Amino acid sequence: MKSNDLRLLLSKGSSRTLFITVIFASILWAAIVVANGVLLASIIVGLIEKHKNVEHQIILLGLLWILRAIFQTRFELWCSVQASKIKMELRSEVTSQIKRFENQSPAHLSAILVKGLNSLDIYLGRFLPQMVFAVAVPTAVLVIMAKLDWLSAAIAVLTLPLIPFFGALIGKYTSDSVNKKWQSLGTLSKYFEDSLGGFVTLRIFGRDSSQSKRIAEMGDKYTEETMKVLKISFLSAFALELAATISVALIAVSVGLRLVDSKISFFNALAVLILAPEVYFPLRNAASLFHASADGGAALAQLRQMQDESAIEVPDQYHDFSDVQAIHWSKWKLQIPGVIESSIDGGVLHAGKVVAVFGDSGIGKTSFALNLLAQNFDAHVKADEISLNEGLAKSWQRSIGWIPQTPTMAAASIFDQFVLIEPTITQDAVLKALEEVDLKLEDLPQGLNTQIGGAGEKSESVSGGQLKKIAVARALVRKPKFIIADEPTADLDSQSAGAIMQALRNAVATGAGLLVITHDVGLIQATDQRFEVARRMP
Amino acid sequence: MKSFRMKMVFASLLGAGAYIGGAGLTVSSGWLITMASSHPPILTLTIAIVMVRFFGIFRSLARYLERVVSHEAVFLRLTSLRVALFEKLSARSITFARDLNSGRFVKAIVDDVERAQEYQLRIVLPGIAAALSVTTSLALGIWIAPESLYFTLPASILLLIFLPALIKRFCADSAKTLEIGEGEYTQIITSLSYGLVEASMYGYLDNQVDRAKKQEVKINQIESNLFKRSWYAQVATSGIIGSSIVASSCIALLIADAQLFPAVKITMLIFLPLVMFESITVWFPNLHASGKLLLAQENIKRIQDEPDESVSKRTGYAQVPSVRVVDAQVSWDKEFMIPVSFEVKAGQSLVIRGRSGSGKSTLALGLLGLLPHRGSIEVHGSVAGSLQRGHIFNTTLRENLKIAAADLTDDELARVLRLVELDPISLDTLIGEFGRPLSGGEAKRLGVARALLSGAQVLVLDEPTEHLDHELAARIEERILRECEDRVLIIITHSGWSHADRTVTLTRE
Repeated sequence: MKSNDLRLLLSKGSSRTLFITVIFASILWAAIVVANGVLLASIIVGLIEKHKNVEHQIILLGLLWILRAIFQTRFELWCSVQASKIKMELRSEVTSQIKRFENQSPAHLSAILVKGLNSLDIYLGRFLPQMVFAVAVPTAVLVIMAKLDWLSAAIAVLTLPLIPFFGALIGKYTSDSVNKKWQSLGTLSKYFEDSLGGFVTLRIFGRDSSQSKRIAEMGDKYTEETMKVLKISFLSAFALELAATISVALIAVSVGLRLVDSKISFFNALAVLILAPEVYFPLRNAASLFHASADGGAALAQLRQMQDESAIEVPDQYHDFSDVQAIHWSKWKLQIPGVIESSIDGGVLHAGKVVAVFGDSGIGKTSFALNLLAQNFDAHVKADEISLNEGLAKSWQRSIGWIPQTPTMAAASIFDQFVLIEPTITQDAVLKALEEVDLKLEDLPQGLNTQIGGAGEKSESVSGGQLKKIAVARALVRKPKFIIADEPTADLDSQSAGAIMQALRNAVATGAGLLVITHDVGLIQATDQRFEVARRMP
Repeated sequence: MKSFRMKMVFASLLGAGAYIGGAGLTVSSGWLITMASSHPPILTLTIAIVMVRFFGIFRSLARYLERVVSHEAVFLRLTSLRVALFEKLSARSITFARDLNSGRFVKAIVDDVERAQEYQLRIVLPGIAAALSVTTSLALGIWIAPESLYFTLPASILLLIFLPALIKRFCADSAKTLEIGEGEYTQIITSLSYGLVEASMYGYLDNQVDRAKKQEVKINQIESNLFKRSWYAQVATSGIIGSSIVASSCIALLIADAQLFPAVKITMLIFLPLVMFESITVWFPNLHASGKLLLAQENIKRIQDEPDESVSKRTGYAQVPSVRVVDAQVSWDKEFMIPVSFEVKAGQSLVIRGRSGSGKSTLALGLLGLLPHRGSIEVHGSVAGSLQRGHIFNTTLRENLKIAAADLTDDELARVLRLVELDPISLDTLIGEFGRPLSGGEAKRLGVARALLSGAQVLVLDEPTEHLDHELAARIEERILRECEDRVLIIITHSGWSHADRTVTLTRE
């Protein structure tokens, strides 16, 4: 884990509480482990040498186990709950500043927030506590062992570094091999996903059976490669485990041989024997959780990277744009080397006028339009004399109606779409707005209560054309000073297209400025001024 | 499949071996120390010393081999499961393609396959290993002192059978709730992020963010509940292990008093419960997190157990291609098209028009033989087409085109690319999700190119010139018509195509 990721985590109140609690818990746990070992040794010696009061020690052992059971389970429960809370905090931090992450793809964003952060469960709930335990418990056990038998403690001290050494080796190999493993597994599951997603296309061309052969071939090839790397990382895990078990065996044999010569007491020998594994096991457990926790670390790193890439939030400046008479823009260029190079001349849109922007598909007309919305800032845009910037965006957008090519809606009823914009709007007003765009109530499955929006299947309750009409009605309901419409009539039947254009022209007649991006020749000719987004000649 | 089972059995044996090795190490060390305490000649300790060392090495070796074997098995199965599922799904009628299109369903299957494998690796395998190693320890206990069964047997039954069943049941329950909660959250985040510009423009961003936050709190609550429920099981586990340790001391106390019981056996009797449940303490944490894995396992099983559907594939070659449709109604699950009839012969072109929602695209899928229908649809000749939203595969333009036919040469590909004016993109360009993004119009033209390249005698093109400017659309229209002079051409569209031979207009009921 990189120190920056750690900082991201530590900035959360709940994470700090987690760390501090884990440290205290590890001390208590070390005490329980030592007491358990000493008590067991004493009971065995007592039983064999027929001491009195062994019963008392057994009762004490019972009490210790009750304490141990309560402490261990409560602590694990607390860690898990805390991990879940930290997850919630990290999620909420992103969602409350969601605007900063607008350049992330929705799929990527939800993958990090849901699946990615879920892998923190093991990372925070188990791996981190285990890491702290791996420091505290061996230290405490070593101190007691040194008191009981300094030679065993010395063996443990000498062999213990082997574990972090092999651990580091594993870390080095596994970080490579785990990466490679995830990469190839990722490639495979992407390939599978791609095949499933395109199965209708494959079926149309009768390629579905050859595709399943391809899936098998790819799978076999990647399995072989992945196993090669995995074997290396398993081999280093083997070395680590061997170091731990062999060291325990070494201590057992050495203690046994000295016991024969009475160089050590039976009780000390037994206690050392019971305690010895406790020196190695916490470290070994941490190492074995390392794999499982790798995803959690990766998710944190991705989250941090996402936050680093995200835009800086600019404080909103309020400005009243309701009297603006014209939008001016400077010459705008789009350059993606090897893919596209295009430009549009500077121009102006006056209130009460209609301007068309046209050009080949995929040439960047929409990217240009986003400048006029104060959403992109690669062209210089002025509202009358005021240059638009990020701070002014919110105020400016209130006076604009935006009709995107593929509209999205809030996940709510059709009526609520309008309530969200104008909280006091009446049903009648909404019906009137829908009538303007020729959308009739009887065409909607549940009238104004029809649920639309969201990325889910709810949108299937209305057709693409109906959704577009709602989007136009929504854009017009605030009586915007300027309307930017991206392909408002594309892919619609002529009756619907006519209704939408009529509604837009009505708005222009009452003084709004309309900029329409379109392919429709008839539409282009009926405008006051035309701008072409043209491919730039190199 | 068989080799997978064999490998898993072998891996479980190795896993159990590793635990037995661990138990052996502790028990034999106890034996060694106790023997040593009576100061015998060193030679009598040799066996104990060898055993201690043997178990020390055996444990790690068995663990290493178990990892290699089990991972190999799981990877093999992952591949065969994917192949089997793909074949199963692609043999179905495509009523579920609507779900596939949304991407979420696909993602769910892909995740489920991986989780089902994780279920094998993290739940099944350690479970069998635990059962084997605990049973071996039971036998060891009988050898040490038959009385040990008083505590080992009930503890084993509770830990191997009773508790796991209980944990699995409530984990699956909670996981379902959690899955639904996270599904809703994913949806909220996706739509929030997808419609961000509009949400902030039209002032409903805060409202949507609030929904996301409420869902975050809800997920946290569900998870906390799950943890609290599994806490009871953890207390029980810890309690059972603790009780058997105390019980072993008590039994040792009773036996040691009553009869002449060898000292070594006292040590071993007390050490036994310390080590015999190690496998359980490794297995249970996985079990507590098993809910989602269990659901995935069930989902996969459900898909596998679904009966095969028979699909009529229309790939036959005909001397003279033709399409005859009489009173046909194509349907997804409910029918909304009104019956349509038409006939198209070789060299003819037909345009199907209609308002959005009248079922144009559904009819296209019916003509391609992908959906069930009423009435009669007779297609003579091989058929192919382009979909309203055809899939772009994550590979090069060349491979994307070769979906149409594997043996196409670069020259043929280039010729058709010129026809649809996609020739500025080189054949080696990676396109799709990880490559050059295609605009709506480009994607359409890619679909058309594929259909033309397929050499099929009947072509069904759904909105081939959508998203294109008029001049380009007109040029491509003309070329498609020319390319299809001896084929049957059916175009689904709402605009253009005035030069087609005939037009059918669909109306909505």
